[in-house]
Amino acid sequence: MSSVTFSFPQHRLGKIIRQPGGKSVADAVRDAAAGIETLRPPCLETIDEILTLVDQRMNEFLATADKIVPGRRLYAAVNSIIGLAGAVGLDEVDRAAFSLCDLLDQMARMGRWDVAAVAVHVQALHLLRSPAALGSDASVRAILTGLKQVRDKVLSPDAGRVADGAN
Amino acid sequence: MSLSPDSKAKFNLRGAQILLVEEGSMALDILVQILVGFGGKDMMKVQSVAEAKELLGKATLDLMVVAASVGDGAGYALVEWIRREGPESNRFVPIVMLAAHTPQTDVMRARDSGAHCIIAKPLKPVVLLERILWVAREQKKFVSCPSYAGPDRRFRFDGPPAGGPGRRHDDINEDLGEAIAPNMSQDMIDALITRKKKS
Repeated sequence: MSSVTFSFPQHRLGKIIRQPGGKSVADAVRDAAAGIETLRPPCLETIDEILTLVDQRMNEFLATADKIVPGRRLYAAVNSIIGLAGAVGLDEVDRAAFSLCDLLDQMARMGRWDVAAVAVHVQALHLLRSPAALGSDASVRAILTGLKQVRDKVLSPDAGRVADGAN
Repeated sequence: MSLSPDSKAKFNLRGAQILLVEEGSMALDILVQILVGFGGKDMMKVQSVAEAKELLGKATLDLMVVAASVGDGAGYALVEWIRREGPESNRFVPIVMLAAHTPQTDVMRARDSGAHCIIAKPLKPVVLLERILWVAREQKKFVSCPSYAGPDRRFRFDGPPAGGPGRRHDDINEDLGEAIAPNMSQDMIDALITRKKKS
């Protein structure tokens, strides 16, 4: 029989936030957003550096027969974009990066790799990095819809059966 | 939990000792800007699990914000360590975790890490603030057992799951049996709650 113990710690944070002074939620959220905005130029530079790293790791991924290790390295690079892009309003880059991470994770789990699906995601990351160059919101939506279709197709059980049959 | 970003409700983070653990200097800078915006003053920031452990041994913290991805996914391990083996002074520290994409293999680990809550990136200031205020106000009891150490994850106690016997010592058995006496009449109930003159 396992033992379970309960403790009732009183942390100080509850008392601290009730101290006089401080700021309102509205002011805090506004000041936080303004603080993030000051980081926009260096943040965009960092995103571009990570995209360069993603390209390098994509090349490793393409060049290596055993995809597990290069797949993991590519996953780590793409995962580090998530959060940065969204912080500076590039939510679509975040979504494409999340989609690619999901794809790489699931493919590693299934032991079945679709290089073309990964490549199209990496290309999409570059396109979505500069949404103004795409011309319209419709183009951005079309890219994200396309990525979803690619991911769904690659991860569907039918795709597994086709691949197994091909082998 | 739903905090209006236009709320005039006030809070004060000025006196809180906060440790931020995030991978990558830019991600850390974003986190710092958000916490500074919230009025945080006393902040320590590190980019590795080793540095975090060192600081945990030196300072008593009031809040930690930890990215799951730090140290190639070692953020969960750091929180597990704090809850089980960390310095006594910080064993129960409120911890908010941040996660980008969580690999399928880590989903259960994330749930069982012992953090108070996990927030998905991209991080929105109002969401982080909402969670911090929730953690501060909810003094959750802590559970420690072989499979889990951390704040009680249950939000409301609705009794044992339907169809099961329950596993807590104070769970009431679902099968209560038949009443051993007739129900009280309304008159009897009224008589119990009607005021009476003190004799």
